[in-house]
Amino acid sequence: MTRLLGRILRLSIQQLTAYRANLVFEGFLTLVRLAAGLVALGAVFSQTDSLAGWSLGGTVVLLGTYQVVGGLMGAFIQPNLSFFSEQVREGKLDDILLKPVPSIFMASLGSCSPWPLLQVVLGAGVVALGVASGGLTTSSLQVACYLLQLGSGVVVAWAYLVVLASASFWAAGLELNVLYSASWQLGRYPVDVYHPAITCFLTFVVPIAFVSTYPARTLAASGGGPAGVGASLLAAAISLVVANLVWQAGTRRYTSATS
Amino acid sequence: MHIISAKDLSMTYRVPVRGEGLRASLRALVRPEFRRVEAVRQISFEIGEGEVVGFIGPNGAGKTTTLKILSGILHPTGGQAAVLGHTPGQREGDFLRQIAMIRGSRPISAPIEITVLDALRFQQAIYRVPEDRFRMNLAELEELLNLGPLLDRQIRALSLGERMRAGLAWSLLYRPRVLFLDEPTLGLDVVAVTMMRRFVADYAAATGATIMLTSHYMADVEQLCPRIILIDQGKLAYDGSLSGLAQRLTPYKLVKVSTDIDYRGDWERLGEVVSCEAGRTVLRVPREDVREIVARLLADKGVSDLGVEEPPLELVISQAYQEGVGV
Amino acid sequence: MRYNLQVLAQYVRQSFLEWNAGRSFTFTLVVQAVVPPLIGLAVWTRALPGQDLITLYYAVLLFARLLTVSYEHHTFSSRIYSGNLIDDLLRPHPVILAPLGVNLAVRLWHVAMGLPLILVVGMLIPVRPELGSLLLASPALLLAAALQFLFTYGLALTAFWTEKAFGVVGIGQTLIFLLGGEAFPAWLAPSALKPAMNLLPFRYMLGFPAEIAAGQVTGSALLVGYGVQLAWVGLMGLAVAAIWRSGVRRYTAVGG
Repeated sequence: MTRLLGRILRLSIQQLTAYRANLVFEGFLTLVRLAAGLVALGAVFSQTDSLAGWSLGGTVVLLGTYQVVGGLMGAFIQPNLSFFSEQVREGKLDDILLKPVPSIFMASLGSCSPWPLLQVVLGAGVVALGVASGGLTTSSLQVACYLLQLGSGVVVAWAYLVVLASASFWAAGLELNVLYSASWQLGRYPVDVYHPAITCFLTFVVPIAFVSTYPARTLAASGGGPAGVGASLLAAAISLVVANLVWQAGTRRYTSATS
Repeated sequence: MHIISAKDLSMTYRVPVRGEGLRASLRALVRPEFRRVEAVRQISFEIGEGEVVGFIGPNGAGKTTTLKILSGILHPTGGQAAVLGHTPGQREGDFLRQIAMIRGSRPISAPIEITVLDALRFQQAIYRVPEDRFRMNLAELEELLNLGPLLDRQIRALSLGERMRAGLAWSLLYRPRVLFLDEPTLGLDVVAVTMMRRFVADYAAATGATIMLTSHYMADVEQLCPRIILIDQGKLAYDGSLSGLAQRLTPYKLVKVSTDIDYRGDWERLGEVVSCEAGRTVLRVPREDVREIVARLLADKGVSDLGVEEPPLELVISQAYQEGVGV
Repeated sequence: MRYNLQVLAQYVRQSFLEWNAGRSFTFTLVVQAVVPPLIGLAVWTRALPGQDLITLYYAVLLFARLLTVSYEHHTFSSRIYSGNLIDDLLRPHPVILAPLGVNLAVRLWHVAMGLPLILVVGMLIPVRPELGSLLLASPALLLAAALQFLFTYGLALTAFWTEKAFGVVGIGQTLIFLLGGEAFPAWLAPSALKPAMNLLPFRYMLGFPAEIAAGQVTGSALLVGYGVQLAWVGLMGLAVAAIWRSGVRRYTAVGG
């Protein structure tokens, strides 16, 4: 499996070096976006000391976490699931269904795009930056919990993308991927910032809260604790189940309906 | 005054070159290499008003490149082109309003909810066609393409064939004096191909437009073009009639003889035997000998029927593509 | 000139109908466009509670955002890549008229679809906006729309040289987000950024009209602001013309 991923990665790099200017630009683009996010945060904290109970260090950690998960999605999942309805229409799904691997994984992990990995690396750096500059104390237990919650966040994000892509099984032309990018941005700030109704929505319906807010809370020590970790793990479990159910229902519909 | 004239036209590209493998890719990043591709090499020809000229040649010979130069989309790296007295590369409004380049069969592309007539009105505005001319051109196209029933229908309701007809009307609404057709029958089914060929012939006759068309289907060229220009590896290899090319390349004709089933003839003496089956024999006979051979065969009582044909055009042309024309 | 305007009108009409057919897609684009200003609104009203002007600012910014959206990297760069630019080059009018027509139609759709949201946000504004300020902001709004089109179109033209025009435009859009008044209003900017925001074109593509409407720019600052905005429109126009000429020369040497 790792050898396969390695080969995919190497091929992707080969493809990319074919275009000189992109190499510079993709990297630059990632940097610019990240810097913009940091500057935007800096602007807020130049006017106030606390944003919905979060310190600057905490929100920087959150931004970094957001970038890490976003980068992982962009690198491994989105190349496969964006414009999924097109793949369904073109019959690529048939190839996937024929493979002996669970289709849900084939469909979401087939190819990868290396550039967003830069986002992951930079995001991790930003998390470290947040911890350091915010003077946050981090015990190894906290870090372990953070990583656990980060993993849960990855699962939740993956599940979200799978469910969005599955919409294509029911409404052939529907491409909800754009909704992903729109709603995803909400995770760039702590969900406590928003109106309580929205915070609820982002915790129970579209669980973006578990992508960045919950893990960051643990490191920022602003009220994480075992409850937070438990919630993250539960969210991950539920997302996994929901995504699987929706996908199975979708492929069942697809395979019984294709003419 | 010639409508289209090309003088020593040349077009040379720089194409990046890259080796295989990861290391070569990274090296190309730092030091990119190029090679020169001479797509068109000093081509010269002149086309008069109303001519329909076929532009043929193997893939990559430079046909489409030449058409793009003549329509102003490409600037040649050498030589001069003049169309309707303009330099195409300048892309003057007056020039563009008198030419059309149709690539492939181009079914009409316009918002699917509007009617065909709406789409034509759009073209009228773009090409500044005065109302009276619009009506005249429309009437002409209606007749040539049987457009009447389509005009008030929405584009989304049209079948593929209908979209093609609407597309042709759309492209030609402003009655261009010069038409460049790049592979007009590519990918079309038999019915559509026939329709397209008939249309081009009728349009040329009705409007007196000067037409240059490229095609890989010899039947297109055979039916439509009294004159062909053969391009090979960027150079002009032949300029004249199709039959002239056939004669030059294949100095023989095919004689097909029908005989009684058990007839045994001394075919070798008459010509090269292409095939010999019970009752049917095909001979390859040098052109100058055809009269004599035919006379002899007709005198033979065993021969029941006789036919003389040009070698199949596809064969001639593919031979020309492979071996060159030779002068 | 009259001819060009007629042609433009034709393209606007045609694009409007085309995008009508893809209404659901347009809707998702509208959603994507309104999220950043809404996030900005949420964040700043939470950071600085009680500042009524912020809500007014972001309400106007929302409208400005919909009126200035530009997707030329999707609509036009793809024509360069696919080779369909040839059809544009064969037309007897300046090529820019077609993408401009598409842009105006897309903006019309965005405003139409986003209007309910704007009204809702408008109702949240605790302060009555001054009619005078709104009137003063209107020319700035139109200039901002022109400026952002020129900027995005110019960046989309880099497709003549690079395969990833999307990335280039992406950087441009990030700069608009950061320095254009979406991430934070100009008057709340960190002092290190204030001179940059006042000089660079981004604020004049988006936030400037909203600042005027919120009464944050008056008197001589208003005049200076308009001056800078007009100067940028002129500069951007010249730059786009130069980029186009250079790009077309290259395209017609290579054939796409």
